[in-house]
Amino acid sequence: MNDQYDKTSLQPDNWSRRRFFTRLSAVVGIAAAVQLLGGEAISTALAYSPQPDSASSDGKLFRQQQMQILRDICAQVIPQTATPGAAEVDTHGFIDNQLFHCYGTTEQQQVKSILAKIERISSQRYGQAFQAVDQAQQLVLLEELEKPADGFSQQDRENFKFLKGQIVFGYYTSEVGASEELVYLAMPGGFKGSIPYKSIGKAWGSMRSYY
Amino acid sequence: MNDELYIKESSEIFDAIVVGSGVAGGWAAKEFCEKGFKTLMIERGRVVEHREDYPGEGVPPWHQTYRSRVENLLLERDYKVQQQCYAFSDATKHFFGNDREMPYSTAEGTEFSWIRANQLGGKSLLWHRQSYRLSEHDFRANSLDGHGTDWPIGYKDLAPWYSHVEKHAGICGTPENLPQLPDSEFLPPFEMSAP
Repeated sequence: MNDQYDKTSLQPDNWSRRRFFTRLSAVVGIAAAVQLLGGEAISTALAYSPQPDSASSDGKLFRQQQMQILRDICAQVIPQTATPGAAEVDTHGFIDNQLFHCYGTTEQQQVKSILAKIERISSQRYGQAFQAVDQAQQLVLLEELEKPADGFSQQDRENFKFLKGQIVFGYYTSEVGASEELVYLAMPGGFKGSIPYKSIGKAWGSMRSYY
Repeated sequence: MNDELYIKESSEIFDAIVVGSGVAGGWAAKEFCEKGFKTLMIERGRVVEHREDYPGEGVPPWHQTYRSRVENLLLERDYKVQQQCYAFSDATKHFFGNDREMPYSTAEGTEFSWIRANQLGGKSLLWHRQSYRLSEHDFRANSLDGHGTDWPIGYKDLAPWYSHVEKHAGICGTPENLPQLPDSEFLPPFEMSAP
């Protein structure tokens, strides 16, 4: 089962499938396209695909400047290591898409509000936009956001907690996060009480972790 | 999904007819068949074939439209009630009833979350693999809380049947000896982790 989702499936073939589906559904409607193509093809064609440059234009919910702040926060929360981090797999673009389609105005406003607050504190403290200050200063600011410090309120911390939840969810449900940073197996099979950690070297990702 | 019926019309005579193919109906049919009764099962929902009618099976999250979540518009239109169920997700939503196609009303001042799964297998397709026994507190809950009538049977009537079913299904757990959560017939424990 796992083999059918090898990385090559996200390459050009899939792009043409997405384009094909988009056109087909424009012509016959989504419900009819679903009947013609079957569920799996549709879900793959519609699933959010990481873009290389979501921070360079407006998203569905966020303006371009907010997308840039979001990208930098993603990079701070899950940085690049031997595997790509949250910003590299376009978690910011995913969050914009996911909040737009799957959340209400309250949650959307939570994220908009914390992005605005981070922007304001950055200007006050460093005299520059968050995305313009260096990474060490960004990290200091986000760490202060986590503790009762000047400028940030309890509501800010709650908003940031929600945003971090979205970043973690977005990253660990992405193909890189789930199958490279973690180990992914669609059907894990039996239980083994003891496995030397070094024989795997990373944690397992499973569907249930995402709820 | 498969709209075919297994039997269109038949003049066969059956010894037993089981109405509904969910967990309870499935068990009833199994018992009848094993005892040699010629058994007919009736199900109003559609046929679900293993593997081919499980579009959410084995699909990794990054291939799901919203990574296991379901979008607002679809929830609002088709699953206003069904979305309350813990088992509702992108990978299971097709096994829930469509609230738009099957509307219902409740008396003013009352509410009822009617989670529906009309299909071969019923809600067993949505079962998340936890199996607890009801206790005497549950069977007597109505009179204990001062509402209505108790069940006509008590825990001790059902206990041997719980055992009968559990030995076939295979239930994991540890004996806790709690009156509010009677112990099941448990499988041997999993192996321990090395210290």
